Amino acid sequence: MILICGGLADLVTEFVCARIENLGYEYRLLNLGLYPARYRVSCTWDEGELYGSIACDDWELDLADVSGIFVRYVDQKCHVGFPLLPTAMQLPALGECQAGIMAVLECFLVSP
Amino acid sequence: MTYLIIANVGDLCAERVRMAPCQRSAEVLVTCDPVAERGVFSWELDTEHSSSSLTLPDQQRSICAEALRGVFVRSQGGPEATQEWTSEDYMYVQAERRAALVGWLHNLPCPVVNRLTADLWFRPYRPYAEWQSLLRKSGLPTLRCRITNDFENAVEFARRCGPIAYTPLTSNTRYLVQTDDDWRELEKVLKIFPVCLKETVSDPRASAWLVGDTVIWNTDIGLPCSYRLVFERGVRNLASLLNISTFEIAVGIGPAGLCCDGIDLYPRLENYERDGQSSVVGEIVSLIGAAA
Repeated sequence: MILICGGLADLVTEFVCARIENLGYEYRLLNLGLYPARYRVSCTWDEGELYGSIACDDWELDLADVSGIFVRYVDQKCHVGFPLLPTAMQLPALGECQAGIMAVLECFLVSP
Repeated sequence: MTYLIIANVGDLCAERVRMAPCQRSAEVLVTCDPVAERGVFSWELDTEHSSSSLTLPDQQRSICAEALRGVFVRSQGGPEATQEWTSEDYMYVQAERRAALVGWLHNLPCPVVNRLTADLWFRPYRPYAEWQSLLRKSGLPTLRCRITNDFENAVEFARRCGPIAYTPLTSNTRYLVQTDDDWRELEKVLKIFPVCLKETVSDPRASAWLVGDTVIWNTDIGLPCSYRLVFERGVRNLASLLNISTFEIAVGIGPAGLCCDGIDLYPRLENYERDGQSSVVGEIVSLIGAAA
């Protein structure tokens, strides 16, 4: 299963999704334009074992089943924003959210 | 004979390292940012050659890179006066300056202590989870941890692990989750961004600072020799994996016994006792080639 992490307001991510769909490959989109809303991400390191999943209302993806990942982080223009936060906190919050995704992906990359 | 120390004002480690070459009448330049706006920085490079010169704000003369005998890096530069910039401009200027600085540091012909790889340079503070795989590869015992943005997931983790703490993903600040108020706070945070949850450690705690090949402990917690060797070997292995010469690990008692509780690429000398401070400073002075 291919995992795409990006925002559909971003042309490159949109093209990649369209192309993968056109080729008929299975993929899941973690829409960073919306994230963390609608998505539940969990990744655990437990006595040497690494496991995790990404889920939304329509699907759940075990990270062990991911065969390839395309990531293109979004800027504020491509994100819906955080309704609970003041303007000054929007950018740091987006940074925290994407750092979380980065950390999860990095861990899978460096793990044996 | 000139040495360069890149450090913020008030950095005890930098100050103590500065004193050694000064006492032998060597010139020591100290700056928090060699590429700051009030100085002059010039660097010319092609595929084979690199030549650069530096004039710090309070210096009259220019120093070329070849004249530097050693460099010790304790800070990353970037504009200090944040209030003069909009947040967007500040981040841009900081990124540009840091990129120039790390590139330059990697082209210096002299010993550079604490020259981080670009990857570590731009993200020195990482969640424990990101260090986990490297810690284990190095042979260091680790704590269980989880990254999540889901409250139920956090509760399940705590149920399994016992007391936990959480850290934001872009800083080292740690928040214990013990009381109902703590859990309510965590629930609010998770509605906005994910965090890294981790088992907690208890006393006795210690820190071990690697400089070159030497490991210096901040305090004696009565570690049996065999444990001490495991940690010291692990720290050296980790240095090799990270391709760095100095950093610190924290050690504490987790649910499964002694384990590594974190990594700090910019340790604080204040956390070490007098003998430990002298050892750390002596080793750094030796590494930059300024030992007597």
